[in-house]
Amino acid sequence: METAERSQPLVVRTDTVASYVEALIEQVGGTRHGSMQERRIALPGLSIRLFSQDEMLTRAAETSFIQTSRSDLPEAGLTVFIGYPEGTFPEPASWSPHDRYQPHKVAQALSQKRLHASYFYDLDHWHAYDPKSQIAVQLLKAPGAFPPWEAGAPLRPFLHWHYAERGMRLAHAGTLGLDGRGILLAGAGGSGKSGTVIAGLLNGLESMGDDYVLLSPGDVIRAYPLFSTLKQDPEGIQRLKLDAARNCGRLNWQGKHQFTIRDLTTAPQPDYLDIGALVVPRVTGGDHTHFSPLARKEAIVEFAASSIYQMPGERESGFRFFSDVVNRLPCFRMDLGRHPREIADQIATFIQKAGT
Amino acid sequence: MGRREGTDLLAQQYKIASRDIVAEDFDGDIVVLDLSCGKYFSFSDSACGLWEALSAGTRPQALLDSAAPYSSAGLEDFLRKLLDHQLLTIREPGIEVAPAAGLIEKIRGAKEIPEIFVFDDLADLFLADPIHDVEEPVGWPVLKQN
Repeated sequence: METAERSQPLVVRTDTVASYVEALIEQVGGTRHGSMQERRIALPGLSIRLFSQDEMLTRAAETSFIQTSRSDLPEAGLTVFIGYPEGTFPEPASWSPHDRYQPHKVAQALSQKRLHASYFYDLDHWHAYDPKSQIAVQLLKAPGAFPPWEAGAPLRPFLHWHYAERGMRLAHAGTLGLDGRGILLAGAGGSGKSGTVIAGLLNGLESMGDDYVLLSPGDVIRAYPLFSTLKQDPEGIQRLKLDAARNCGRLNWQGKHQFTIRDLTTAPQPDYLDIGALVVPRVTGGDHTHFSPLARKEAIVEFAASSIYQMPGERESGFRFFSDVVNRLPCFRMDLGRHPREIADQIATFIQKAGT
Repeated sequence: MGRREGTDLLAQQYKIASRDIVAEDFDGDIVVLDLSCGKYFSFSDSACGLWEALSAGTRPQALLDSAAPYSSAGLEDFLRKLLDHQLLTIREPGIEVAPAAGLIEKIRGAKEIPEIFVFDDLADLFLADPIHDVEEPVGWPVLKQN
């Protein structure tokens, strides 16, 4: 750290970032935050105590999760502080203009002290996490000064780090299921994941979400829900014959409608899905949906690339984790038809036939 | 021919170039990820066998076989690509490493010449410095053109 004065913002580099993160967590975590209301969030195997100054992120945390009061995963706790320089939160540090910010190298530097952090330059916005104390700090420069994607998947880096320490992973994948058994839908943006999940939900299938899902690699690969958020662009809303005004909320930073599973269906969703196949959808514009085997070497690139890229921190364990998932699951390409009902019916038949 | 900066490529021993290069086996197909840049690599069937042997330290010379679907020139070309992508590097000469059991049969049974396929859809974002490489005033994750 080049200076420690609060009046003069800190400037950090790769070789000082671990000390900065350690001091930040110690300062924020060691302070009484009497004026901040505590909120509780119950996720699979994880009880979160949230203390947040930021109204928008508080609301996002209250509405974006699929909370659960029961889980077959071992219970752990996490305390999260979200704030900006007012009261007990310090001014966020800036990154030195003389040092390249290379996420992979930064993660390696932090790992020396077994810490995690990510930094969003445009806003001097920090996520910092100490797995030893299980204290997490999200530091903003001002109220509302967070990256636009934060509201759709709040606390995501903390969840990623927490679950990764326990051998689980947040995967960038959608899910659909029937009677507790299901498939993972993997692929880059535009591959049809979200539209397929929505088509399934509208036609009686179950889902753990369309974007991020928690994977646990026990005897069976099990998917748990975290976020209830669904996203779809206006064209997709039309194709799915959704009522945008009634069901689909306003447009987010990507120009997509953002809404929740509860906006589409009141049917109860299971606590988890046992995953029996990895499916990579492809929009074809054809009349019918059909499945064909997919080589695992192709599936891993589709599945791992965006999952690893979208999560901060070191990447090797992610590659190993997703490789294990791909090697354990049969992999398929799914060429999507145009009709949501037909897509859902084909997937239901696929799940039943495959015994997944 | 067969030389890189005065080196006989076929006579060398090789090792994985750095800790950032990680590989996994999928039904005998090898996929390599360069963690430092986000590029994925996959191989043709003969190249999968070659990767396994070369990364274990077997000299290329020991992998020239009349039944293999490549010539010495083809093997050299493949080696150059592995070096250019910084997946393998030449290592100090050490104990001779014979090809693992079944590897020669795998190479003999291969149908394709040694080829490497690069998947770099996310590499630009993976490699980018989100501070210095972004398009102003849009910000991350929109990268500067050129």
